[in-house]
Formats: sequence, structure tokens, C-alpha cells
Amino acid sequence: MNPTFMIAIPLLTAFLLFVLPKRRWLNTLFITLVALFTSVYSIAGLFNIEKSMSFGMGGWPTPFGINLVVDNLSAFFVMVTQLSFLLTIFALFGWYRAERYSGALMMTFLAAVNGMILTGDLFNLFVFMEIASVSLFALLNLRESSGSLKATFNYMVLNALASSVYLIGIALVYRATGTLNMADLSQKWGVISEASATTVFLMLLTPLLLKAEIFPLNLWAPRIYGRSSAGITTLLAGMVAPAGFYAMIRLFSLLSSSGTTQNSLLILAVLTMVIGEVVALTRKSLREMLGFSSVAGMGVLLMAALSNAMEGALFHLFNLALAKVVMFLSVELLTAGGRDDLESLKGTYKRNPAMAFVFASGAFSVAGLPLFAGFRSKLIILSDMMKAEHYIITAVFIFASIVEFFYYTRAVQHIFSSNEEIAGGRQCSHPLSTLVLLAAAIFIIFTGIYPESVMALAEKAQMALTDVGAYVASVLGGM
Amino acid sequence: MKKLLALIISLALFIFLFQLVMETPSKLLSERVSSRYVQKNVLSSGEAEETSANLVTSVVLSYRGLDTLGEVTVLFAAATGVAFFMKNVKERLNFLFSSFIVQTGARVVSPLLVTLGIYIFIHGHLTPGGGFQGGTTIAITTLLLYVAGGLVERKRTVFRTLEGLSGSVYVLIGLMGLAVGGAFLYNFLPLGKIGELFSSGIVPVIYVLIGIKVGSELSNLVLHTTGGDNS
Amino acid sequence: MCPFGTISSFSFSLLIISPLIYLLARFDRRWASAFLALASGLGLYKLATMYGEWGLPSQSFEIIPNVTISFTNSPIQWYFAFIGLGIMLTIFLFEISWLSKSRTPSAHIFFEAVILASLPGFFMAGDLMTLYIFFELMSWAAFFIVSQASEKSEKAARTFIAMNTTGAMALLYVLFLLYTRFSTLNIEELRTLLPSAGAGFNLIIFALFVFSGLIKAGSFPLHTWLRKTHGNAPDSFSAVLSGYLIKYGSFVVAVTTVIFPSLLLFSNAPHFMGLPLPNYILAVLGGVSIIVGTLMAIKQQDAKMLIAYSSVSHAGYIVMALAMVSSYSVAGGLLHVLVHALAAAGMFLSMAAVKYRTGTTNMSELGGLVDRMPVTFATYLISIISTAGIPPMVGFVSKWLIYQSTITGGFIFLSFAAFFGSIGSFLYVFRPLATVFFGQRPKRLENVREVPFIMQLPMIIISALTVIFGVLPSIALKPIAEAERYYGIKPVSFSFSEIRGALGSWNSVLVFFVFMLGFIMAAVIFYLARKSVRVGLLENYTAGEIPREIINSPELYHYAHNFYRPVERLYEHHPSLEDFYETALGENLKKFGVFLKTLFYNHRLDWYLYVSILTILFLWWLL
Repeated sequence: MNPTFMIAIPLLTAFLLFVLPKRRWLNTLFITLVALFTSVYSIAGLFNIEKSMSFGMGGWPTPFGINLVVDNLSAFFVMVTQLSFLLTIFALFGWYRAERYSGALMMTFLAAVNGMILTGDLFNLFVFMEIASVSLFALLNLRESSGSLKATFNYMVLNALASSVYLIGIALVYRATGTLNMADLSQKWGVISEASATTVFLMLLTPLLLKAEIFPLNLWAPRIYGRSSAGITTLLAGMVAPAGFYAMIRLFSLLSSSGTTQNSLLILAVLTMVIGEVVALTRKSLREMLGFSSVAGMGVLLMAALSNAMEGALFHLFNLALAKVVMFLSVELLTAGGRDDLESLKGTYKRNPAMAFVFASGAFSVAGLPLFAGFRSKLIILSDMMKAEHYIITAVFIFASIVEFFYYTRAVQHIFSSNEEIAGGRQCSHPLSTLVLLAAAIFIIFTGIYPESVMALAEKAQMALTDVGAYVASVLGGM
Repeated sequence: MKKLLALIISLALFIFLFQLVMETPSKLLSERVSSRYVQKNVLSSGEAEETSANLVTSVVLSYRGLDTLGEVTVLFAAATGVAFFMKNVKERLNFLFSSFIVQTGARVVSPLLVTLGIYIFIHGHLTPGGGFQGGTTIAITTLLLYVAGGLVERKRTVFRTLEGLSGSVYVLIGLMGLAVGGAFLYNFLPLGKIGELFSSGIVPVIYVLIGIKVGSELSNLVLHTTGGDNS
Repeated sequence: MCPFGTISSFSFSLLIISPLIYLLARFDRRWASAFLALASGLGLYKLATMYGEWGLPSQSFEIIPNVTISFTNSPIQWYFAFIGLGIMLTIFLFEISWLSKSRTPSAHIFFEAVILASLPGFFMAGDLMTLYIFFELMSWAAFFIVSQASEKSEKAARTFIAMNTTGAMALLYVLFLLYTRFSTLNIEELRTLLPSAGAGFNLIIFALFVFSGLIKAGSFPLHTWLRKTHGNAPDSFSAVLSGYLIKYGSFVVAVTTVIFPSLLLFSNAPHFMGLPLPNYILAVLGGVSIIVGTLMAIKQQDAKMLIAYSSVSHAGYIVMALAMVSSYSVAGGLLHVLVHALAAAGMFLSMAAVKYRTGTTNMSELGGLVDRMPVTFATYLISIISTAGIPPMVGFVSKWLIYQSTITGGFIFLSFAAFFGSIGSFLYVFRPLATVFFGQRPKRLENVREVPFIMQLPMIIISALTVIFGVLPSIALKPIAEAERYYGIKPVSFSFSEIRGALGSWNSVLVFFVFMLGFIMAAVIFYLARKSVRVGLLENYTAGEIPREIINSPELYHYAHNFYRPVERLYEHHPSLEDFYETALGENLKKFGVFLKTLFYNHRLDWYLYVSILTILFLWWLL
């Protein structure tokens, strides 16, 4: 499997969209085909990896050229992001027909997120992060609403700041080690003294923390989730956040970090989780609630990753991404982009029972109800964290879970309330959207009962993460 | 009050960064990646492997070609974003100079400007400059033509098609490199002799494409954002 | 017969076909209800055949390393499961007709199918993880059923799920504490392993288990959700909630005190009157629950909320009895599970029947239904006699056993609480009887008829069982004595009709005959004497005048309104625990959330910078 296609094909499509005649159905078809292609290719590739492989660009050996790395970890993340994208594309059929501009932006976004995950070079990571962000700035306003522009602007500024910090970090890294390649860097990292290593490392981590929605760099997130169309914020939750998380854990494993760094990040993760859950409880708007919950979920993932529960964290990431995507999309289809405060949601299950069911399955998965996928991953995280003797943090996690369970159940209760009559009868969504989302919901339940296949993938990914030697060997030893 | 705070934070940041730079060790220049770029000896094969006379070009397009593709895409995404927003905006910028001198002068200067731009990006591998710079020059021509009394015609479709076409060909060249040489953006055209116009394989081709792309992109940007009431 | 095959297939197949049951209910709800009644009957039959085959473990699929879903059979588990399936059977029979008045019958039946599936799974769980999973499933299903009743019930359901989830998560935490320590969650294995852990560890385990059990059982101090939830639930489901679902909590308490040998675990702890301190504190909490439940029940205006508080008081009995872990108390506690299951089901079903025909359970709007709904009346009467602990109903037997243990143990407060509960319960159970069934019948209820036969049938069954077990408690005591023997407690000694206690023994059949004699004599006198005279309600106490107030709010003069005002005045100004939980915890948490939002997420760009800098400084200072 050559990862170049994951980047090149979407890019090509983006450019071609400007050449082709402007027919909406044509654009939609094109984009759907590309999304299908990348998804199938990534899944096929995922099951065919024996060892980590590095692909140099232009034929130059690393560390002089840029390379893309495929191992079980990056393939896992690529699969997660492709599936999120595919689900989004299908769900968008209901209310959005791809136009030239937004379609092209979606393609560049897809290429960029893939690039973020597959790349093995620090500056290349920066470039792809920029592409993803710039594409999102416009896409987030697809369904323009009051406040979506302002929220996007805030995001823009924060993003620029974080990227600047990152660039300074890269400059310092290059000054000290003379290379920008991740694998090469892991060999030469020791050159930097302990004190400044922490700072430089955190500088490198800054935009990744922002993307992965960790406090205090997630202050932009809830407003974006609340004001922008839920069909697009799915891309944030299901693609950008996992990609940021990937880059973080990759850098963690490649570059040795001090205990202080780990502890500070752990504290930040716990803060993210607690603040996210408690504030989510108070939100009246469903999208904002989901946004805060998404933020808190990323906090859980980071907390688990730092508490020796990496395998559980990876499995949980899969479940969370799937559930969040499914929930955002079903909310979009349920409310048709209109009001989404809890009161007006009462009884909406009569309007669109399929989407109500889909939302419920996503909600229960995140809340951790037995029979749903999220329960299994939460169990693994809990057991691993307890084994590492992090008793207090586990108790905080349990508290956060209680709060989370409550507000999700409350939301589902409102949607399925039979005590209200709603205006307008059935408004079913586009059959293709319904079908795909239902399939995703059923898959969530299926994974809750038979999680073996996904867990095996998570386990392989975790082993790839810790096997730094193999990564470095594939990058430096080869071409 | 805010300004004072801003000043304090900036000072603190400066001091912090300064200390950080002082504390990080500096690698010997010869051990850095860049030294091999300068020597054009990455492959350690003895022959000069890269035949673009311009060092910057060889780094930008050969050694780190994927980054450039990425940069092109960023620009593309930004311009498309602008176009996307501008679709629904009724008000546009409107700043025409309708004096006779400007109009005539513009008519004289613009072909020269376009030629300059084309020259810059065609010789990107030999002289400083390249696709981005040349393309920007071309876009400046469009801006000039607009400012000078709206002389430019609405050629948005042409620009857009050029943009898309050039971008697609760029990616296709990369894919062809994959097919021929086993790596994306592999330099599969004959390398020729350093310093000649037709040298260094795909590099000039790519620069031409980038020039066309950036030029049409930014021209479209100008056209999207200006026009006043006659969109 | 391997319990795995039966129980897990029962649970899992019910779970799998529950969507089909939903569809069946949409087609014809009576068939769906009848199907579930059949299923519970089948479960009962299979369970009955499994009596005696104790301790057969079974393995299922692995969830996390070393933890599987497993089921096992032991006397105490068999006992709880059997009662549960029996109650569900009566409920499903009742619902065949009752569902016609429900607003969402298909959803109701669907979730009840899930609850039925969770029942044997929970009680016959071989390890704590299975326990937890079915516990969660049951709470979730109950939540949705309660939400469907009315607008008010939605809020009540949220309180329910908030408290329940807290209990469940506490269970999850303790589960992982045990798992990390012992690498197993199998209940039998833990039973043998726990004594090897230190007293501190055991105390934490005990406390967390008790916390989670008390919440679910609805016992003080975590009982506040019962009133609104049981009061606002769909009527037949209130019977399930009170009759059976809170026994899940009692089962958790039983696991903690009886199965995990709490006496052994705390044998080195300070003792009070021969009982380790943790157990004593738990028993005191149970005692307080009895008192609080009784006092609160006296205050209620709505029949269902009244019965809900009575459930609090009875949960207190069970908790207190199980905490004392002695021969009589465990027998009494376990028997009380049966007593309360029957009594609560009986009371709620009769109230459900009343509401089915009259549309309300507000006591001041009802009256004089005794001759219109005789079967309902009889069920209610028998249930309250059992609740009050009066022979010849089974309620007397359990209370007698509990008295034996509190008195011989020398626990003054606990004995006081137990007696208070009995006497006080007579106060509050009498009120619905007097106000709903006796007294003047309002004009609009003139044409009320008895409920259909299929709804009478379960009520008749419950009444009959209450009497039968009261006459021959040995039938119920047999599995209980097995249970006691299984866990190393001296079993209570009894014969066919005689129960032997520490302070004497008595013969239940004899007592029954004496009561029957008295009853017959009273009936003879009644029929031979003069007939009663009908008098209009108002003439009773307005002496012919018609005050203005009567026209606007006639219930002021309904003698059921504020029935026990003089008693209530005694404890009028009491702190409300319900409000405490709702405000101190619920509202304050929300306020904290809003505070956090305005502190951090207020969307000004410069604010973002300040927060970031402050966080960095905070971390730098911390580490």
C-alpha cells in the first residue's frame, strides 16, 4: 500500500473540480468516489501491514527528503479518519450538494488530514496542518449562522498563534540537531539539555494540543461546535482531533520527555475532562453540549494515554470518533440545521425515528452503557489505570463519567419524549444517509458485543507505537 | 491598560525566547542537513544529482518537493475560501482610478509585467524567483488592470480552469514519477546540464505550472473581491 | 442442568428478541404482554427445576482478561430470582389489560422485556462484572419506562438515573479495585480471597458496595429518589419498581454482608454489642430509614407516593436485618424481601386498578370504592395487613424473626426502630384504605366497575400468596434456611407449621385458625345486626350550613385531606433531604459549570491568552 495515494488522489480531485463543468451531481459523485476509494484503500492497507514502511518523496533518502510512514499505528488512525469522512459525505447527501468550492476544500482537507498522519517530517506536518485549518476556515461556515464567522475567526487567530509557536520550536530543534525528520530527531534528541528539552517539546506540542482540544487550547472549540453546522464540525471531531492526537503520541514515543512534561500534560488532560463534562451539563444547546463532551473525551484519551492505558485509549479513540461523528451527523439531520436547544428537541424522534435511534446509540456508546462499544473501551481504560495505581485520577474519571452519562441520557430522554406533540409530520432524511448512519449505529452495537476485531487493531497499533526501533529502522535504515 | 499588559507579555516572551535560544546547543553547520543540500550531494554518489543552478529551487522543488505541493495547496485553499465567502457577498471593493494617464500607462506596462512574470517562473531553476514570485507578478498585472479603470475583463472561468488544470498536472507529474521511478515526485525527465534552460528534469515544468496556478489563483482573488456593484 | 445454558440463554435470547417484542407490541399489545408473561412463567419453571443444584459455575465470553460473563446458582440467588420472576409474571398478566390505558404501550413492553432479561442475569451472576452489566441495563430500561408516564415523570426519571448511575459507578470503581487486587471478579472466589486483604481495604470495599446498594434499595440516606420516581411512574411499573427493582439494591447489600463474610472481614474491628462497627452502622442506617420512611409516608397526599415511602421504610428493614448477619436476622431479612415484594406489588397494583377505572390516585378525590371494586379492596387490605406485620399474613413472620434478632442482640435503637416502623406503618397504610375505599363515594365515581378479570387475576394471586405464606411460612423458609446454611450461618429452625425462635416458638396454622375464628364471629355479628344508615358527607360536619369554601375546594372538607395533620405537626419543620441533594449537589454542580464556562470559555481573544498564560504559570508552580 502506498500512502501517497491517500494524499495525491484527493488533491488531484480538488484541482480537477475546478476544471470539470459545474454539475452538482457530478461533483458529489466524484467526491463520494474518492472518499470510498480512500476508505477502502486504507482498510485494505491496514490489514496488510507486516512491518512499518517508509516512503521517501522524490526518491531522496531520509533525513534529506520528506517521507511518509505507514505502520499499524498510522494506518489505524488513517482508517478512523477515512471512515469519519465517508460517513460525513454520505450524511451530507441529505441537505448539501457539493459545489465546486466547498467540494474542493473538502478534498484538500481530506488530503491534509491524511498527510498529517502519514508524514514523518516535522515541517511537512506543519504544512499539512495549515492546509487542514485553512480548508476548515471556510467549510465551517457552510451553513452560515450567527456567530459562526466570529467563532471561526477566533479559531483562526488561535491556530495562527499555535502554529507560530510550533515554527519557533522547529527552528530551535533544527538549530540544535540539524534535522527535521522525526525518526532522525529521535536519535539526536539527547543533544538538547533537559531543561530546554521540556520547553521545546511543549512548543512542538502546542498546535497538536490545540487540534486535540486539550485545555487551555480548546477554548475555541465549544463555540465552533455550537455555531457551525454539525455536518462540518464532524470533520473536526472525527478527523482533526484524532490526527492531532496521533501526532502527539507519536512525538511522545519518539522523543523522550521528562516526568514533568508527562505530569503537566496529565493534569491538563484531567482538567480538560472535568471542565468539559461539568460545563456540558449546563448547556442548553445540543451542539454545544456535544462540543464540550467531545472536548472532554479528548481529555479522557490523553489521560488514558499517559496513565499506561494506551491500548484502551486507542480503542476508545475509535469508539469515540465513531460515536461523535454519528451523533453530530444525526443531530444535523434531526434538526435540519435549525434550533437545537433541548426544549425544542422534545419528541423529535417522531419526526425522524431512524436518526433518533442513531443518536441514541452514539450517545450511549460515549456514556458507556453496556452493550455499546464505548463501554468495552472504558472498561479496558479503567482496568489499566487501576493497575497503574492511579486511584485518584480513576475516581475523577468515574465522576466525569457519571456527569456524562447523565446529560447524554437527558438528551436522549428529550428526543424520545412522548409527552410532546411536534409540528410537522415525518421528515425522513435522504435514504442513503439514513442507511449509512444506521449501519454505523448497528456497528457500534456490534462492537459493543464483539469488540475483538477492533481491539486487535488497537493492540497492533499500540505495539507499533512502542516499537520505536522498528519505526526508526524503517525510516533511516532503508532508502 | 491592555497595551501595558500586551507590552509586558511581549517583553516576557522575548526574554523567554532569548534565554531558550541561548540554552539550546547549536549543531555544527557541517552536520546539518542543509550542508548536504548545498553540496548537492545527498545521495553520496559523487555526481551532482541536482542540476538546477538555483540552490533554493533545488531544495524547494527537489529535496522537499512535497512541502511545495503542500504550499501550493494552502494557497489554493485560501483562495478558494475567499471565493467561497465571496459568493454570497454583495458588496465588493471598488477603487478605480479612472484618470487617463493611469489607464494608458496601465495598457503599456501590463504586457511588460506579464512578460516579466513569465520570465521569472520560466527561469526559476536558474535565477532567483520561481513559480510563486512569477505568478504573483502576473496577478499584480490583473490588479493593475482593474485599478486602472476596470480594464480587465471578467475572465474568471478561464482563470479557474487554468488553476485547476495546472494543479492537476502537477499532481499527475508526481504520480508519473511514482509510476516511473517508484517515488512520488521522482525526477523522471532527463536532467541535462546544469545552467541550461532545459535542465533539471521536472523542475522547470513544475515551476511553470506553479506560476500559472498562482497567477490565475491570485488574479481570481482580485476579481472576486473587487467589482463594486457590477459583480 | 448447567445453569449457564438456561440462564444466559434466557437473558440473552430475551435481549435479542426484544426489538421483535416491540414490533409485536405495535401489532397487538396484549399478545406482547401475554408473551412476556409466558416467558416469565417459563423462566420460573426452569428455575424451579434448578433448585438444589448449587454452585455450578459457567463461563461465557471474556470481557477483559480474566473476567468473563458467568452465571452461577446458589440458594440466595435462586431465591431472589424466583421471587423476581414471579412478580414479573403477575405484572405482565396485569398489563395485558392495563396497557390499553398507557400512552406508549409498545415502548413500555419493549423496556420491560429488557428488564425481564436483566432479572435472572443480575441475580444469578457469578461475577461482579455480570452483576454490573445487568444492573446498568435494568436502570437504563427503568429510566425510559418512567420517563414515558408524564411531563413530571421525566424530571423524576432524571433524578432517578442521576442517583442510580452514581451508585452504579461506585460499584464499577470498587469492582476494579477488587480486580486490581485479586485479578478475579468471581463472587465465590472473592468470598475466599477477601479475608486475606487488610481491614482498611475491606472497609473501603464495604463502604462503596453499601453506598451503591443503598442507593438502589432506596434506603436512608440515599432514598430521596423514590418518592418522585415511584410516584410518577406508569402505574403498573411502580409495582415493578417497588416490588422488585429495589431488591436489586437489597441483593447488593446481601452480597456485601452475607456472601462476603462481613463478620469475618471485620472480626478485628471494634465491636458494638457483638456486632462489628461497620455492620452496626449499616444497621443503624437501616433503622433510621425505617423511621424516616414511616414519618414521610404519613405526610403524603398521593397514594402512590405514600406507598413509595413505605418502600423506603421496608428497605430499611431489609438492610437492618441483613447487616446484623445473625441466624434470625438474615432469615427475617430475606423473608422480608418476599413480604415486601408481595405487599408493594399488591398495593401498587390495587392503586393501578383504581387509577385504571377512576383516572386518579389523589386520595382526596376518591372514596367509597369498596363495593364497586371488591377484589382490588381485598388485595389492598391483605397487603397492608402484611405490611403492618399483623398475623396471619406473611408480614408478621418476617417481622417476628427480625424482632428476635434485635431483642436478643440487645440493640435498643434497632428494636425501637423496628417496632416504630410496624406501628407507624399501620397509620399510613390505613389512610388510603379509609380514603379510597371507605367513606363517601363522589358522584362522578358512581359508575365505576371492577377491573377486568385478567387484571384481577394477578391481584388474587398476590393476595393468595400473602395468605398462604403467612399460614405456611415454612414453604418460603426452606430456601432461606438453605441459603443460611450455604453461607455458614446457623439456619433458622422450623417445621411444617411451627417456627422456633430464640424467645419462643409459635404455630402458624394455629394462629391462622384463631384469626379465621375471630373473622367468622365478626362476620356473623355483622350480618345479624342492624344495617348501617347512609348519610351525606357534607351533613357530617357542616351541620347543614354550606360554607363558601366548599364550593371552590371541596377537598378541604374531605376527611382524607391532611388526614394526619396533628401527627404531622409534631415534626413539621424537618430538613428535607430531597432538597439537599437537589440543591446542594445538583444545582450547585450546575452553577459550578456555569462559573467554569464564564471563567474560561468566554470567547474573547485576549481572554484566551490570559487563560493560557495563567495555566502555564499554574503548571510551572505546581511542578
